Amino acid sequence: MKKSIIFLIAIVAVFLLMLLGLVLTYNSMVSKDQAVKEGWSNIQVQYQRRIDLIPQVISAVNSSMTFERGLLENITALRTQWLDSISGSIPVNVNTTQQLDARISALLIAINENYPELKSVEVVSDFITVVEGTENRIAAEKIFYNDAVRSYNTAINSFPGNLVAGMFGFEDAPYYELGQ
Amino acid sequence: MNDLNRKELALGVAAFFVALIIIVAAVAAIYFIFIRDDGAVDDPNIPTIYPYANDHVGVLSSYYIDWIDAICYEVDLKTSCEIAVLVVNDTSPYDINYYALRTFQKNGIGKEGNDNGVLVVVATGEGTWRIEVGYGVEWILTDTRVDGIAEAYLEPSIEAGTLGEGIVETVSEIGAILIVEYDESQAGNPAGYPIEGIPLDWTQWLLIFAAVAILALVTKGRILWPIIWLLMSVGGRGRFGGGRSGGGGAWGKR
Repeated sequence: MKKSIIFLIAIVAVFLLMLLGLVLTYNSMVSKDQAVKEGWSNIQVQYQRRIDLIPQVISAVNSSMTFERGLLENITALRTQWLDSISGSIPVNVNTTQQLDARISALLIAINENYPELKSVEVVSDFITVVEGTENRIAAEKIFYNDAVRSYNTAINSFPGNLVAGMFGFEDAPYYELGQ
Repeated sequence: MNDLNRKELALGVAAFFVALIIIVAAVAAIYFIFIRDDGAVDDPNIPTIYPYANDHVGVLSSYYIDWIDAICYEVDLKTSCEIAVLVVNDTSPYDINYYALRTFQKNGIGKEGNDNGVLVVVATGEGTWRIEVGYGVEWILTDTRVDGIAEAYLEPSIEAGTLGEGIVETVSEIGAILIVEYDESQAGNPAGYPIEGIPLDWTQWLLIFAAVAILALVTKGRILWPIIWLLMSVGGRGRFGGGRSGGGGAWGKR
């Protein structure tokens, strides 16, 4: 076999190897990116259960909670904001979600301390059950989301993944700050 | 150097490159295809547990451990649902919810694709408990139902210092519900792997067979001995099936 042919085979082999590496790295990044999106959508699914009940809860408590009108209006506005930000950027949605959490928590405290009679209203009691029931699930989905982000960000920032990430425009995904 | 030696040298170089490419490609394929990195950090504070009863404190007598194992085995046999029990002194540095979630995740309780596992964690030093329920059985073991079982059997036993009895009753109650109500066809999304219990699809099996066949040809069959040795050495205690949970269940403190 001529030297030139061996050299050519080696070049082709190295090229094929690099191509294989590129394809595998790209596919791996796409799959990790999908895991991040899936993780975020799982958080949204859990929040949706709360969001769906808000209009009914507000209309049920509106007449009784005259002193909390500002809080109720705030929750309604945040619900609309949340629905609008679903398809938007993750940081904006996280921000809305955190504000919504704080207001819902304030609403439950107000009901518990100042309007305990509202707890016997079916939709309010359902809402309290859903909020309590989804609390741990949301916490779990946030943990899994952050796991997916860690895996994805590590892949696109370490060599040789960073080269492929740069070529195809993969960007860091934001963490969900826990405990806020 | 005569023509024959040159030819041999060239062939040797070519063979070296081909072998190098096969090895690098195989390593890359293993890394990118078989390693399923879910991003969870391997945390030494989260224990590895085995089917079914795991007492890391030493409060359960062998009588109760055998009893719990027997119940869980029967449930596994009849429904494929996996129930695991873990008794620890404390869950520090984490709270019991996070600890149970991560323990469930690390050990993959329940069958992969069906996510039909249940983990009962009791921290004796803290007086806390958590029953973590897999995605695939959340619809049977609802939060309220699990909470009711724990309040009836587990909490009083932690209080009274009769943990063995309480865990047996808790596991029996959960097991009975699963045996009566669990319908595998309704739970989760079966993964549909060609060989049950091994999470590899047809492409991955083909790649493995192709790699083994090439290596067997190149090494004139010598590679088969280390592979057989490796397969024989993978034994020991059984493991759970790779199920997942998403924070469903209940928790409490005495």
